[in-house]
Amino acid sequence: MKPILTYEAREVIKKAFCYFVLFVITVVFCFPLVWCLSTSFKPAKELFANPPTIIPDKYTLTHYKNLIYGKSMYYEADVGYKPDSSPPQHFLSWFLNSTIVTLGVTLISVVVSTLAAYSLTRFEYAGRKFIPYFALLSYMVPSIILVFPLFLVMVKFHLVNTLFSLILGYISITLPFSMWLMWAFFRGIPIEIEEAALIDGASRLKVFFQIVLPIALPGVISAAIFSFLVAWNDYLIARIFINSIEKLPLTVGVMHFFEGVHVNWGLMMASAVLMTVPLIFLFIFLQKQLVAGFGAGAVKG
Amino acid sequence: MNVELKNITKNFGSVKVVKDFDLSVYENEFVSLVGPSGCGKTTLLRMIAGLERPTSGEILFDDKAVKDVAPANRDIAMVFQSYALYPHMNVYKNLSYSLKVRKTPKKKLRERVLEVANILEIDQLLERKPKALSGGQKQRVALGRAMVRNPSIFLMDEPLSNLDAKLRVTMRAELKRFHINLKTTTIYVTHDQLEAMTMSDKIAIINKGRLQQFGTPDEVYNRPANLFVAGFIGSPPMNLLKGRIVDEGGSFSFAIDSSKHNLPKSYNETLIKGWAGKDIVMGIRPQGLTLVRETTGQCSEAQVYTVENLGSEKLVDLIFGKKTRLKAQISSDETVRVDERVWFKVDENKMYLFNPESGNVLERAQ
Repeated sequence: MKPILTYEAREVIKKAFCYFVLFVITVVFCFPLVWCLSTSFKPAKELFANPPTIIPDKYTLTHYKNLIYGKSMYYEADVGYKPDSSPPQHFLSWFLNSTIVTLGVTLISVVVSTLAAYSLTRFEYAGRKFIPYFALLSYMVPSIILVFPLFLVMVKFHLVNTLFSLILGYISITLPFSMWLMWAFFRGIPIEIEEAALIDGASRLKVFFQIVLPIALPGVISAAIFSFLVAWNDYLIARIFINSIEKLPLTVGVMHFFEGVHVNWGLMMASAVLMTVPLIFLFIFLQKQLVAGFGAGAVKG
Repeated sequence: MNVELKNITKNFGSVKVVKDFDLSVYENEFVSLVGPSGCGKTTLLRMIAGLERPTSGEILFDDKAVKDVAPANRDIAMVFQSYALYPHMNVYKNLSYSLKVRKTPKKKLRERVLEVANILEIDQLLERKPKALSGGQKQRVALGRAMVRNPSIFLMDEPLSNLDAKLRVTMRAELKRFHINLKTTTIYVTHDQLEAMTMSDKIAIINKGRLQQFGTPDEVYNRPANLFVAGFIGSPPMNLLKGRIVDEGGSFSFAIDSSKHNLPKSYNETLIKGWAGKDIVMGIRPQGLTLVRETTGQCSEAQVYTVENLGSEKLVDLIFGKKTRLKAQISSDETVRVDERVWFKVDENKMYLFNPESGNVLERAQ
């Protein structure tokens, strides 16, 4: 019996189906982002227009301007804040706070985890086999459990309400996993390569920086991105550790655009867009390494 | 450069990998360390390189102890079994790395790298990364990386074992030729006795961390010091048969089952007398056996088990007595059939006798 459809026709249908599924998934995932972008450019009147518009009828940069120039909101709660404070005035300092904390966390956790992981794979001491797994275990504890003990520690050290307390808090989350990731990477590098470099005349440090680190670069980048994301996106720790408005990071700061029943959606969405931009660039540039890095870690771990 | 190992011992925890090892390698020699897996040969090489410290004993380079000299300052170069090329650098950078860390002027560095690349015929590959190279090309780059610095000693750890059989034979000859041209002292580790035999000036045969014999390929082949060397060197390996010495009114022979074989004249009579009536091991290489169709005395009866035709000659597997197996090599124009009854004759001048307890050979008069 002849098949009803030719081989080519079936292939076309298969492909069409695949693309349809991919399209639906993409729409579902991207809709909030598109909606957010669109809202951030809409004038206040159009926000709740019915029917809603995806492409705004009128563009406005008011929300962005308000964020950057720190215009006062029409409604100021003032409860517990400085009398002249209004949330949008702090947007740039929130952005700066987030940037400082994130870069600090990324730098420290990459440097420390790389050195720690290298020592775990190359030097002999008690516990070197067991530490990486233990580190992974600590990563599996939900951060809500860690937050209050950590807060009490910060109180003891008089670090509450400082950016440094945030850096320490995030590192306690990022370091174990980054170390485990780097450990999996270093384990995959044959020791002979390092020995060859030693015989070639390189010092231990040169071997590390010129041979080992470049080979493990995808791992370093993955660890960096992971740390960056944790620090940039965290809400919980910052909400608890910081209690003055000008020291907040972006995630907690923008929550001030909810003031009681008034929600300034324009400001909210504009800040969401501005928060996403650094991540988009980060991912565009480092996508390849990220995939390689997580893949390698998964297989060898 | 001369290399001397004095009384070297190496333990990994409670495992003794190398035991009381002595060895002298002279300037310009090509010396192989050969033995089965796990005999300690690679550990010895790594100690010479400075990658491991001996537990006790001394290593001397030109009579100077090098115990506290870092690998970088020993003026050695090493070729690893896995090649250990730097995967993130192209061939040019792989070759030049050792010169770069030693701060060689750029112009000189370039000249030297191109010279070596030219000798090894890898000058077309300088821009490639190691993963884009074939096994043979990687091997050449690894060799080039060792050559580029003009070291005083080459250390090679099974450099040919990752190559396919044909390429291995080619590279064997090339390595030999490089040594003739460069005349650099070379210490070469292999588990392949054929590689050791074909390339070396001298061979150190190692088993279980101990030196069994050290000598030229001729010496270790023709005058094996003990049962281990006899069984290890030569392909196919020497046949080793258990029997006893019988004394028939002053004339001695080696008896196995009901047959007897003459002993070579070169054995000292008083030595043999002492062995009369005792168990002994007789060694004979497959080339020392001749097969005959009818017994002429001094022969043993056997059955042909298999015949392997190698083209240039044939290897005959024999079953003899109580399932003792031995191999004989015959010329390719002789014919024997499987399961045929034959008699084998031992060429007495190619016979070796070994003490079955110590394994040591009974020395013949020269």
